[in-house]
Amino acid sequence: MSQYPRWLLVPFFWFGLFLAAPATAQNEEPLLNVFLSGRNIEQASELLIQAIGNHNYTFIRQQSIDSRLVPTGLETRFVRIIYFCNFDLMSRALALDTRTAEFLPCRFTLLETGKGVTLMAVNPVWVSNRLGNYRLHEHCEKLKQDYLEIMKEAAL
Amino acid sequence: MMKLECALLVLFWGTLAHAAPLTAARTMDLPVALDEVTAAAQNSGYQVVKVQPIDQALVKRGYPDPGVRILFIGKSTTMDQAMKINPKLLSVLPLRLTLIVEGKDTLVSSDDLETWKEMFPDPETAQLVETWQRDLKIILGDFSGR
Repeated sequence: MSQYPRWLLVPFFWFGLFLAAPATAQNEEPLLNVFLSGRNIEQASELLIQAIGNHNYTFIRQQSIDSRLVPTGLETRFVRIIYFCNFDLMSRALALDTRTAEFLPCRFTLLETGKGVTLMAVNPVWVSNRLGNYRLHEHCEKLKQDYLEIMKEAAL
Repeated sequence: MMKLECALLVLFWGTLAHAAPLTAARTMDLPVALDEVTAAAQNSGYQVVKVQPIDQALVKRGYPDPGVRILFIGKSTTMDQAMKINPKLLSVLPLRLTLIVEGKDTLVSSDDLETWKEMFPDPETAQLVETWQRDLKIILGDFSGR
Protein backbone atom coordinates (compact mmCIF):
# COMPACT_ATOMS: atom_id res chain seq x y z
CA MET A 1 0.00 0.00 0.00
CA SER A 2 1.26 3.51 -0.75
CA GLN A 3 2.80 5.49 2.08
CA TYR A 4 1.01 8.63 0.80
CA PRO A 5 -2.56 9.49 1.80
CA ARG A 6 -5.31 9.00 -0.77
CA TRP A 7 -6.11 12.71 -1.01
CA LEU A 8 -2.71 13.24 -2.61
CA LEU A 9 -3.76 11.16 -5.61
CA VAL A 10 -6.00 13.97 -6.89
CA PRO A 11 -3.28 16.66 -7.10
CA PHE A 12 -0.90 14.02 -8.52
CA PHE A 13 -3.40 13.20 -11.25
CA TRP A 14 -4.00 16.84 -12.23
CA PHE A 15 -0.31 17.65 -12.03
CA GLY A 16 0.38 14.72 -14.35
CA LEU A 17 -2.16 16.07 -16.83
CA PHE A 18 -0.64 19.53 -16.54
CA LEU A 19 2.82 18.18 -17.34
CA ALA A 20 1.45 16.18 -20.25
CA ALA A 21 0.05 19.28 -22.00
CA PRO A 22 3.42 20.87 -22.91
CA ALA A 23 4.64 17.44 -24.03
CA THR A 24 1.74 17.33 -26.50
CA ALA A 25 2.62 20.83 -27.69
CA GLN A 26 6.17 19.69 -28.37
CA ASN A 27 4.89 16.96 -30.70
CA GLU A 28 3.56 19.61 -33.05
CA GLU A 29 5.90 21.65 -35.21
CA PRO A 30 5.56 25.42 -34.66
CA LEU A 31 5.55 26.10 -38.39
CA LEU A 32 3.76 24.63 -41.39
CA ASN A 33 5.92 24.87 -44.53
CA VAL A 34 5.43 24.19 -48.20
CA PHE A 35 7.96 24.98 -50.93
CA LEU A 36 6.86 26.16 -54.38
CA SER A 37 9.70 25.20 -56.66
CA GLY A 38 10.52 27.41 -59.65
CA ARG A 39 8.00 30.12 -58.75
CA ASN A 40 8.56 33.76 -57.94
CA ILE A 41 6.73 35.63 -55.19
CA GLU A 42 4.19 37.21 -57.57
CA GLN A 43 3.19 33.84 -58.99
CA ALA A 44 3.09 32.25 -55.54
CA SER A 45 0.89 35.05 -54.15
CA GLU A 46 -1.56 34.71 -57.02
CA LEU A 47 -1.80 30.93 -56.57
CA LEU A 48 -2.17 31.25 -52.83
CA ILE A 49 -4.93 33.87 -53.00
CA GLN A 50 -6.82 31.68 -55.45
CA ALA A 51 -6.47 28.65 -53.15
CA ILE A 52 -7.60 30.73 -50.15
CA GLY A 53 -10.83 31.61 -51.99
CA ASN A 54 -11.34 28.00 -53.06
CA HIS A 55 -11.32 26.93 -49.40
CA ASN A 56 -14.03 29.36 -48.29
CA TYR A 57 -11.69 31.90 -46.74
CA THR A 58 -11.70 35.62 -47.46
CA PHE A 59 -8.52 37.27 -48.68
CA ILE A 60 -7.92 40.39 -46.59
CA ARG A 61 -4.70 41.96 -47.87
CA GLN A 62 -1.12 41.34 -48.87
CA GLN A 63 1.87 43.43 -47.96
CA SER A 64 5.62 43.38 -47.95
CA ILE A 65 6.93 42.38 -44.53
CA ASP A 66 8.52 45.81 -44.05
CA SER A 67 5.55 47.75 -45.40
CA ARG A 68 5.17 51.09 -43.54
CA LEU A 69 8.52 50.51 -41.84
CA VAL A 70 10.63 51.73 -44.76
CA PRO A 71 9.87 54.49 -47.30
CA THR A 72 7.29 53.58 -49.95
CA GLY A 73 8.95 51.98 -52.95
CA LEU A 74 11.87 50.65 -50.93
CA GLU A 75 10.05 47.66 -49.40
CA THR A 76 11.63 44.25 -49.85
CA ARG A 77 10.28 42.25 -52.80
CA PHE A 78 11.33 38.91 -51.36
CA VAL A 79 9.22 38.56 -48.21
CA ARG A 80 5.47 39.07 -48.29
CA ILE A 81 2.57 38.44 -45.92
CA ILE A 82 -0.89 37.39 -47.04
CA TYR A 83 -3.71 37.87 -44.54
CA PHE A 84 -7.01 36.02 -44.82
CA CYS A 85 -9.80 34.72 -42.62
CA ASN A 86 -13.06 32.86 -42.33
CA PHE A 87 -15.30 35.19 -40.32
CA ASP A 88 -17.52 32.40 -39.01
CA LEU A 89 -14.58 30.37 -37.76
CA MET A 90 -12.96 33.48 -36.31
CA SER A 91 -16.10 34.46 -34.40
CA ARG A 92 -16.53 30.97 -32.95
CA ALA A 93 -12.87 30.68 -31.93
CA LEU A 94 -12.88 34.09 -30.24
CA ALA A 95 -16.11 33.22 -28.42
CA LEU A 96 -14.36 30.17 -26.98
CA ASP A 97 -11.14 31.94 -26.03
CA THR A 98 -10.04 35.48 -26.89
CA ARG A 99 -6.41 34.32 -26.77
CA THR A 100 -6.96 32.78 -30.20
CA ALA A 101 -6.37 36.31 -31.45
CA GLU A 102 -2.74 35.17 -31.34
CA PHE A 103 -3.21 33.53 -34.74
CA LEU A 104 -5.93 35.80 -36.14
CA PRO A 105 -6.38 36.93 -38.79
CA CYS A 106 -4.79 33.95 -40.52
CA ARG A 107 -1.57 34.73 -42.29
CA PHE A 108 0.95 33.14 -44.61
CA THR A 109 4.49 34.46 -44.92
CA LEU A 110 6.11 34.01 -48.33
CA LEU A 111 9.88 33.96 -48.70
CA GLU A 112 11.39 34.00 -52.17
CA THR A 113 14.82 32.45 -52.68
CA GLY A 114 16.73 31.65 -55.85
CA LYS A 115 14.99 28.31 -56.29
CA GLY A 116 11.40 29.14 -55.45
CA VAL A 117 9.11 30.39 -52.71
CA THR A 118 8.67 29.00 -49.20
CA LEU A 119 5.19 29.38 -47.69
CA MET A 120 5.16 29.50 -43.89
CA ALA A 121 2.36 29.67 -41.34
CA VAL A 122 2.32 29.34 -37.57
CA ASN A 123 0.74 25.99 -36.75
CA PRO A 124 -2.62 26.70 -35.00
CA VAL A 125 -2.54 23.33 -33.21
CA TRP A 126 0.86 24.17 -31.76
CA VAL A 127 -0.61 27.44 -30.42
CA SER A 128 -3.77 25.72 -29.21
CA ASN A 129 -1.82 23.07 -27.29
CA ARG A 130 0.17 25.80 -25.63
CA LEU A 131 -2.95 27.73 -24.65
CA GLY A 132 -4.24 24.60 -22.92
CA ASN A 133 -7.94 25.11 -23.76
CA TYR A 134 -9.15 21.71 -24.96
CA ARG A 135 -12.32 23.27 -26.46
CA LEU A 136 -10.18 25.07 -29.03
CA HIS A 137 -8.51 21.95 -30.25
CA GLU A 138 -11.15 20.93 -32.79
CA HIS A 139 -11.17 24.42 -34.38
CA CYS A 140 -7.40 24.54 -34.52
CA GLU A 141 -7.15 21.07 -36.04
CA LYS A 142 -9.53 22.20 -38.80
CA LEU A 143 -7.56 25.39 -39.30
CA LYS A 144 -4.31 23.44 -39.55
CA GLN A 145 -5.78 21.07 -42.13
CA ASP A 146 -7.15 24.05 -44.10
CA TYR A 147 -3.75 25.77 -44.05
CA LEU A 148 -2.07 22.63 -45.33
CA GLU A 149 -4.66 22.08 -48.07
CA ILE A 150 -4.43 25.72 -49.19
CA MET A 151 -0.64 25.61 -49.32
CA LYS A 152 -0.61 22.27 -51.13
CA GLU A 153 -3.17 23.48 -53.67
CA ALA A 154 -1.03 26.56 -54.34
CA ALA A 155 1.98 24.28 -54.85
CA LEU A 156 0.28 22.01 -57.39
CA MET B 1 5.45 14.50 3.33
CA MET B 2 5.67 18.28 3.53
CA LYS B 3 8.79 18.20 1.34
CA LEU B 4 6.89 16.39 -1.38
CA GLU B 5 4.03 18.90 -1.30
CA CYS B 6 6.43 21.85 -1.40
CA ALA B 7 8.30 20.36 -4.36
CA LEU B 8 5.02 19.90 -6.23
CA LEU B 9 3.98 23.47 -5.52
CA VAL B 10 7.31 24.92 -6.68
CA LEU B 11 7.26 22.81 -9.86
CA PHE B 12 3.66 23.81 -10.58
CA TRP B 13 4.19 27.55 -10.19
CA GLY B 14 7.54 27.40 -11.97
CA THR B 15 5.90 25.83 -15.01
CA LEU B 16 3.03 28.33 -14.95
CA ALA B 17 5.35 31.35 -14.78
CA HIS B 18 7.38 29.92 -17.67
CA ALA B 19 4.39 29.75 -20.01
CA ALA B 20 2.86 33.14 -19.33
CA PRO B 21 2.69 35.70 -22.17
CA LEU B 22 3.33 39.38 -21.44
CA THR B 23 0.20 41.26 -20.46
CA ALA B 24 -0.88 44.61 -19.05
CA ALA B 25 -4.32 45.97 -18.22
CA ARG B 26 -5.76 49.42 -17.67
CA THR B 27 -9.20 50.75 -16.92
CA MET B 28 -10.06 52.49 -20.18
CA ASP B 29 -12.04 51.80 -23.31
CA LEU B 30 -10.57 50.19 -26.41
CA PRO B 31 -9.91 53.26 -28.62
CA VAL B 32 -8.15 55.10 -25.79
CA ALA B 33 -6.09 52.02 -24.94
CA LEU B 34 -5.16 51.73 -28.60
CA ASP B 35 -3.85 55.32 -28.61
CA GLU B 36 -1.95 54.72 -25.39
CA VAL B 37 -0.29 51.51 -26.51
CA THR B 38 0.56 53.11 -29.87
CA ALA B 39 2.32 55.94 -28.03
CA ALA B 40 4.12 53.42 -25.82
CA ALA B 41 5.33 51.48 -28.89
CA GLN B 42 6.55 54.69 -30.53
CA ASN B 43 8.46 55.58 -27.36
CA SER B 44 10.40 52.35 -27.84
CA GLY B 45 11.19 53.10 -31.47
CA TYR B 46 8.46 50.92 -32.97
CA GLN B 47 6.08 52.02 -35.70
CA VAL B 48 2.50 50.91 -36.11
CA VAL B 49 2.20 48.81 -39.25
CA LYS B 50 -1.51 48.11 -39.04
CA VAL B 51 -4.47 48.16 -36.68
CA GLN B 52 -6.68 45.14 -37.34
CA PRO B 53 -10.19 46.00 -36.08
CA ILE B 54 -11.42 42.43 -35.68
CA ASP B 55 -14.32 43.67 -33.53
CA GLN B 56 -15.62 46.01 -36.25
CA ALA B 57 -15.10 43.47 -39.02
CA LEU B 58 -17.20 40.87 -37.19
CA VAL B 59 -19.94 43.26 -36.05
CA LYS B 60 -20.30 44.57 -39.62
CA ARG B 61 -21.03 41.00 -40.74
CA GLY B 62 -23.60 40.35 -38.01
CA TYR B 63 -21.41 38.46 -35.53
CA PRO B 64 -21.18 39.30 -31.81
CA ASP B 65 -18.56 41.84 -30.80
CA PRO B 66 -15.55 39.96 -29.38
CA GLY B 67 -13.97 43.20 -28.14
CA VAL B 68 -10.66 42.38 -29.81
CA ARG B 69 -8.30 44.52 -31.87
CA ILE B 70 -4.80 43.74 -33.00
CA LEU B 71 -1.94 46.15 -33.35
CA PHE B 72 0.96 45.12 -35.59
CA ILE B 73 4.21 46.92 -34.81
CA GLY B 74 7.73 46.78 -36.16
CA LYS B 75 11.10 48.38 -36.75
CA SER B 76 12.82 48.70 -40.11
CA THR B 77 15.73 46.58 -38.86
CA THR B 78 13.63 43.71 -37.49
CA MET B 79 13.08 41.92 -40.78
CA ASP B 80 16.78 42.07 -41.73
CA GLN B 81 17.77 40.62 -38.35
CA ALA B 82 15.31 37.74 -38.64
CA MET B 83 16.34 37.07 -42.24
CA LYS B 84 20.00 36.91 -41.28
CA ILE B 85 19.66 34.88 -38.08
CA ASN B 86 16.67 32.58 -38.61
CA PRO B 87 14.22 33.15 -41.50
CA LYS B 88 11.61 31.03 -39.71
CA LEU B 89 11.15 33.94 -37.34
CA LEU B 90 9.75 35.98 -40.23
CA SER B 91 6.48 34.18 -39.58
CA VAL B 92 6.00 36.08 -36.29
CA LEU B 93 6.63 39.48 -37.89
CA PRO B 94 5.44 42.16 -37.66
CA LEU B 95 5.15 41.76 -33.89
CA ARG B 96 1.64 41.70 -32.56
CA LEU B 97 -0.13 43.22 -29.58
CA THR B 98 -3.66 42.04 -28.88
CA LEU B 99 -6.14 44.36 -27.15
CA ILE B 100 -9.04 42.63 -25.42
CA VAL B 101 -11.94 44.33 -23.66
CA GLU B 102 -12.67 42.83 -20.25
CA GLY B 103 -15.45 44.77 -18.53
CA LYS B 104 -14.18 48.31 -17.94
CA ASP B 105 -10.58 47.25 -18.53
CA THR B 106 -8.62 46.76 -21.71
CA LEU B 107 -6.06 43.99 -21.55
CA VAL B 108 -3.04 44.19 -23.86
CA SER B 109 -0.96 41.09 -24.45
CA SER B 110 1.87 40.11 -26.72
CA ASP B 111 2.30 36.80 -28.49
CA ASP B 112 4.06 34.26 -26.29
CA LEU B 113 7.56 34.39 -27.76
CA GLU B 114 9.04 32.26 -24.98
CA THR B 115 7.94 29.12 -26.78
CA TRP B 116 9.74 30.25 -29.94
CA LYS B 117 12.91 30.50 -27.95
CA GLU B 118 12.37 26.94 -26.76
CA MET B 119 11.79 25.70 -30.30
CA PHE B 120 14.89 27.43 -31.66
CA PRO B 121 17.38 27.35 -28.80
CA ASP B 122 20.49 28.34 -30.76
CA PRO B 123 22.11 31.37 -29.07
CA GLU B 124 21.61 33.87 -31.91
CA THR B 125 17.91 33.09 -32.35
CA ALA B 126 17.35 33.09 -28.60
CA GLN B 127 19.09 36.44 -28.29
CA LEU B 128 16.99 38.00 -31.05
CA VAL B 129 13.76 36.70 -29.51
CA GLU B 130 14.91 37.95 -26.11
CA THR B 131 15.44 41.41 -27.61
CA TRP B 132 11.87 41.41 -28.92
CA GLN B 133 10.57 40.12 -25.59
CA ARG B 134 12.44 42.86 -23.75
CA ASP B 135 11.06 45.53 -26.11
CA LEU B 136 7.50 44.22 -25.72
CA LYS B 137 7.90 44.16 -21.96
CA ILE B 138 9.05 47.79 -21.98
CA ILE B 139 6.13 48.79 -24.23
CA LEU B 140 3.59 47.06 -21.98
CA GLY B 141 5.25 48.52 -18.88
CA ASP B 142 5.07 51.97 -20.43
CA PHE B 143 1.40 51.39 -21.33
CA SER B 144 0.46 50.27 -17.83
CA GLY B 145 2.34 53.12 -16.18
CA ARG B 146 1.16 55.98 -18.35
